[in-house]
Amino acid sequence: MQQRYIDKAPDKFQVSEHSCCGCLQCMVVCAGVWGDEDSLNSAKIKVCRNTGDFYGYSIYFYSDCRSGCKLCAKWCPYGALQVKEV
Amino acid sequence: MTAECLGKILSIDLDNAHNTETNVPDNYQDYLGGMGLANLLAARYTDTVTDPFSSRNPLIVTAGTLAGTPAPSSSRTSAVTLMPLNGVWGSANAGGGFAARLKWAGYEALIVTGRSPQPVYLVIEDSTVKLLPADALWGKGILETTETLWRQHKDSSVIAIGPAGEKKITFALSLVDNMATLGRGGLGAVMGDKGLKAVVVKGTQLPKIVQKNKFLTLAQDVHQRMRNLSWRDQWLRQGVYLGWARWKEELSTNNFSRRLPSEQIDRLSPRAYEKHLVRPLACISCPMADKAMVKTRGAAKPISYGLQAAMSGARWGAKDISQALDGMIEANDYGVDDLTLYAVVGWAIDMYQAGILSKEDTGGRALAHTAEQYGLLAREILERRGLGDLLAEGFLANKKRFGEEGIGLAVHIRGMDPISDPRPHSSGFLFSQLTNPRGPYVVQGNSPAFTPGKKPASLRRFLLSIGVSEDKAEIIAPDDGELDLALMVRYTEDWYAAVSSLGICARQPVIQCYGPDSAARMVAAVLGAEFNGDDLLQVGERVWNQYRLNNGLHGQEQEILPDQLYQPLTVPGSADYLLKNYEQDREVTPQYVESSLQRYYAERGWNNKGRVTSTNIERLQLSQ
Repeated sequence: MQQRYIDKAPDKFQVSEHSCCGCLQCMVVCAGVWGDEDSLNSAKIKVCRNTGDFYGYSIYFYSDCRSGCKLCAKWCPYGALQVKEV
Repeated sequence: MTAECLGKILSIDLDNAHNTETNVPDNYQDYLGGMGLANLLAARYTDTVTDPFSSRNPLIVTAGTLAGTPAPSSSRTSAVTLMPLNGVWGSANAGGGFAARLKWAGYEALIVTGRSPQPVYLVIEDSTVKLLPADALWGKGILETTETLWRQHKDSSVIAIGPAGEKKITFALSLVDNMATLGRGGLGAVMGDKGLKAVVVKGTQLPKIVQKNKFLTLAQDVHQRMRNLSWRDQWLRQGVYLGWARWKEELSTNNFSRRLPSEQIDRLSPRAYEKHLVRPLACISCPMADKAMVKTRGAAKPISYGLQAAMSGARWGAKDISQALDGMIEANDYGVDDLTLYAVVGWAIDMYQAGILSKEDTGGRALAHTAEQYGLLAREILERRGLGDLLAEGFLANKKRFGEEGIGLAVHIRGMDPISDPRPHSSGFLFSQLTNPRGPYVVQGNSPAFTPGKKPASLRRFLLSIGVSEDKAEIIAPDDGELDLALMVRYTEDWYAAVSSLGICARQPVIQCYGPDSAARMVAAVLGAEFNGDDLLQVGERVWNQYRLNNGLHGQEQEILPDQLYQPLTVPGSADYLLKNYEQDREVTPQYVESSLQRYYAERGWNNKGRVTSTNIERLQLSQ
């Protein structure tokens, strides 16, 4: 099984964790579209509730994220994930 | 076919710490999940369970058919139990993330029966089920309990109770993920009676969607419609506070005897609230976040919604929204319904002033409608001390003790206080509180007619959008006649029951982006079955009838407005408010209400006592 690395700041996205409200749509849609085992773990993005500030979230990308689809940013309604302008 | 697409039902018996898994009932598609499944499962118990504190009283928690999928705003949790406050099979509903995570753990529903000899909490992690000791959590507030459990169980959702539930205060509730209230009417006390401090759930299995691409297209369309709403930014700051122009008129105080003075109302306004807003919090899958973090003093805290603080603060005389928020946060943490708490206190003060209670009853204190007295008596209730111990049982349980005169001063419908004072605006909200088997509740029967002054054409457009025929819409909202609120509520209740069976939120900006056809297409894509808008509307009708049937003994005799609401509401510096019809051109009398109820019953096909008929039982294939 391919090792998955965590990437906190992929090139193609502007990530604003403080704007994340915890809807998890990015993760669910990513897993639904790209996952092959109907598992939330197959999402290429992970949003976790923080420990300490329990009402804030951390956003991680796995190294096998294809970045090109940008589905997570399209489904983010709170501006936490935005596609970087090139 | 259906069972293969869906998760299991998990049953936990706390008497012997045993759990079992079963498939969803064969007629799942007739009821769907959420509110429908919860009421269908409750029907198995209604004949044998009559005491909310019987260990056999089931706590049924369900996820909607669309929960855990990308369908926007689909993570409402439904729950049914025999409620201690008024002895009805109440159907509760809350936001947060529990329902989605329950689905991700592989379950559609959870049924908890029995009673644990020691405090426990239940952990469900991807089909692994454990009961763990909760001695260290017992006595703790909900906020700390939930955060402790989040620390121990990462990426989980939590339903927890506070000391109020542990002490079996009959208006104790639970919180979902510290930000959504679940179980007005005493669900928290049922959990406390079972020794169940919390339920923790987490999972990784996405629900099966038979036609995945089709489903995603449908979900994205609804998602985009929500994001395109012109007033979305304002909603994210204020949530249901957006209806302030209407709600502020309905803030009465002193046990529903006078409206709050205007200057005090202004200090509870959304403008004042926004100064405390840190940021919105979303339920899983929701682009229309209306939970929030607020900061008054010390660290920021989560709340369900600011408007509720204004409403409960009005009851006890909060001097501004900061005080009101602090009061609500404290009540949430303690796990008590702040609206009922202060309604009960207001009632006790009126009983004292009427001479029904004496200083002997109050521990030597003279009771008056002051913030200080509300605080003291509320504390006594929460600690079950003196008079507070009696008041912790609610209105109806004290009927014998305080007599007809005493109960006559209580402002309640079916033993539960109205959410707000209907006299300034007799609206669909009033009738939906009257006809709900559970008693007054916030959103069941929601419609634009909750707001005064809507034009008939606009109301007809709404009715058509939820599947009502053109002819019927004309009868309900004619251009040249009175809006028939009672008739309208029949259809809005059914629509509420339908969306709540899907797990979709009934908040205005959400349900206006769904319609029967679009929602039904999502169900069809999930189940891979034929299912259209008419099928969904019939589910709504079936579920509401089942809900009513489950409460078979609670018919018309309890659909009575309290006497207080037929009296004028004193408005400082202005004319009194009298209860009038929607158009505000006709006084509402007990006869008017009775005649409205008869039209409502007839429209539902019930008998003139408000009972579900055998014809409906057969036509809708209800479960008995």
